[in-house]
Amino acid sequence: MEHHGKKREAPTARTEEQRKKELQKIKVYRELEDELRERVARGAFNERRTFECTKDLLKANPEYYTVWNLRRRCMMAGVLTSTAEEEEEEEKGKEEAAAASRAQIDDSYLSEELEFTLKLLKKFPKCYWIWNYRKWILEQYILRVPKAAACGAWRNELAYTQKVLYQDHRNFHAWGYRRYLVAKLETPALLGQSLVEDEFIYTTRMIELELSNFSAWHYRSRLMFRVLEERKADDKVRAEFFQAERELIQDAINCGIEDQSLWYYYRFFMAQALGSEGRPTIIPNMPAEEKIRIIEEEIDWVEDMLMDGSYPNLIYPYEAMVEHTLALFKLQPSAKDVREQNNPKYWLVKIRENEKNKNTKRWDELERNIERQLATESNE
Amino acid sequence: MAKSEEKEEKELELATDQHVKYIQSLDTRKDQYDYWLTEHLRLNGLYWGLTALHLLKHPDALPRDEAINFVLSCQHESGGFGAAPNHDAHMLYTVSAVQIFALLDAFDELEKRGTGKLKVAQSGLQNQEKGSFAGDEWGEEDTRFLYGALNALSLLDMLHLVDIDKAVNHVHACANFDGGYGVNPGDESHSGQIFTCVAALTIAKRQDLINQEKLGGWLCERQLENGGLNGRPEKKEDVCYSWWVLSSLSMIDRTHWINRDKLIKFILECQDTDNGGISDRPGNMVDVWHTLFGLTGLSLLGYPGLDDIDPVYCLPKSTVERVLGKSKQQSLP
Repeated sequence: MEHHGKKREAPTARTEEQRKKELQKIKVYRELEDELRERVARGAFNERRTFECTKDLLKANPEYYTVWNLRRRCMMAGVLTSTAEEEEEEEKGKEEAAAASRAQIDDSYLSEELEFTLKLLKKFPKCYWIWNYRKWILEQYILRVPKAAACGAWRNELAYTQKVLYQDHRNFHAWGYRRYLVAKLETPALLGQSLVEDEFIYTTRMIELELSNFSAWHYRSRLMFRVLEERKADDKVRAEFFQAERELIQDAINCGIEDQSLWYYYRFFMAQALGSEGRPTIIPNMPAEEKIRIIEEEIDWVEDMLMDGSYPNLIYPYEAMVEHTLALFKLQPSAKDVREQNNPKYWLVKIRENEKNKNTKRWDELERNIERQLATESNE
Repeated sequence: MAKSEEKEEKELELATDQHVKYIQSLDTRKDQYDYWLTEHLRLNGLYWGLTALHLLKHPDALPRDEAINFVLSCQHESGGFGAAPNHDAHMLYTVSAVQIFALLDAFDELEKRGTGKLKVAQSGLQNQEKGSFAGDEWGEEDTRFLYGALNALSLLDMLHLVDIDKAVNHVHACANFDGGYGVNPGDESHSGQIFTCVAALTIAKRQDLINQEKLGGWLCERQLENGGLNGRPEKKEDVCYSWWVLSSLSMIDRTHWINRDKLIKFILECQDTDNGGISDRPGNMVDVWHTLFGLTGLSLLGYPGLDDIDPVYCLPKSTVERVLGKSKQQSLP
């Protein structure tokens, strides 16, 4: 029912043969459905054929969420053999060998499920239900196989998300799945150690692969503060971190000045560093003179860049300039009168000139907002 | 007037009659394989179609009794609803069911012939610790389900059954630096998810938690040069974002931040003016989902000839006023 990106075709009448073929397809599909329903009605979850029915149906239609649920029920009712708790009890009863072999059987069934969903995800990388089922399978590893093996399976999944994200850098299912994996791997049930540095490096790699990957920049925005915290960074380390990150985003913008993602990250990062949206969080103790110096450098940097080319439709650098000049004004009110480029309203004019959708009312509101801020500070 | 210009003129009007016919035809396609492959969307589809018909001012174009019978046939003893008979209960369908009862003024049928309101409300699955909501017994959590729960519970006048403060905290934890919201805390902002979070906060009367300047800026920068809206930076435009983005802008009172005429033109260009329906982009296959969200977009833009849509509940404003009026505009502390 949701057709994304499929070309519209003129409604041509199907030939009788095509119609018959389609009706046959429907018949096979519905018979399979009926068979599964009949089996479910008599509770035959532990019969091999029921399990197979779910597979055949899901291959035809991976969106059929009820069938994924039935497959889970089959797994619990007969396919999987034991849980970790049962194993422990058995071990006490001196049946260690039996328990271990059951865990091994489960391990192999679970990995078959990963294989099955992997094939489906190749064809349907945006199907919620497949991703959900895969999560459920991974949870079963924790419940049913020894910790080392469970850790192995979960770690392999990290590599798997890398593969998916290599194909589609923005797949938000895969990004979300990756965060889910990391959060769980960090708990005592699995690795019990922080992966934040690895993840931070991973975002760097993804950015190097494609600068305009907003998903990677977003993830970075979420990891950054944890990185600093876990490094127990003092002011000096924080200043170094700031400088390195500043160079990274500036270099990226130098390569892709028209890229929205980069400017969003840039503006976020600068606001965090300078505290223009509340308390500075990257270098909490940055002195005012240092902030002024940085803002002036940033203003120069953006101005130089804009002088190097003509960008008739671009507004992002000008939006950044409005923020920089407002931040500068708050630290040093006299700055705005030194030269017109230090006045936020100078850059608002540029925005109005360049913005292609002519959202005049938005800029009128911004203008009033700027005037309010300039007036408040002057009165103080 | 040259022929091509004539066609263009024609395309830039709302093809109301064709859309009505298209929606009426949806349940007659049982000889098509696709009809069977999409059974997991049947109850949602009915909600999408009925809401579209109400906006088009043809509320009776699908028979009311049949619609109610179908919805009731999807209910489980637990109170929750599945996509169709024999499909498991899930929040996604339970919300659609409640929305249909609201739309058709049929809560009395739910009391008489279904489990009644209370059981439906109790089928919601809030995570007591985090405040989030699961979609079903298997436990997947997503801000879509939290919104669905608050939407349905407020229409049922049963919000008091859940911990609103905790739900609000959870939504707030999903906020990102760009002012937007993701599926779960830590996830990237996405227009669809932003709609669910902003609407949830609106139902909970906690819009004060939203960074409205920032979010408004991000949302209106979804508009591309061709007038269409995308869902995330550097992605393609799609008619459905006419709803997710615009409804969010509407809730924070900033629809005037986008170019109205360009978006109207884009949506109208996505119509199939011969056979009805609206697609994701001009010239693509239509479906009822994009049809509804094209129409809701046009409605929010004040396009003539359409009923007003409520940006929070995705139901006609008149429906929401009737239902919430009955529950005396639920007051939250």
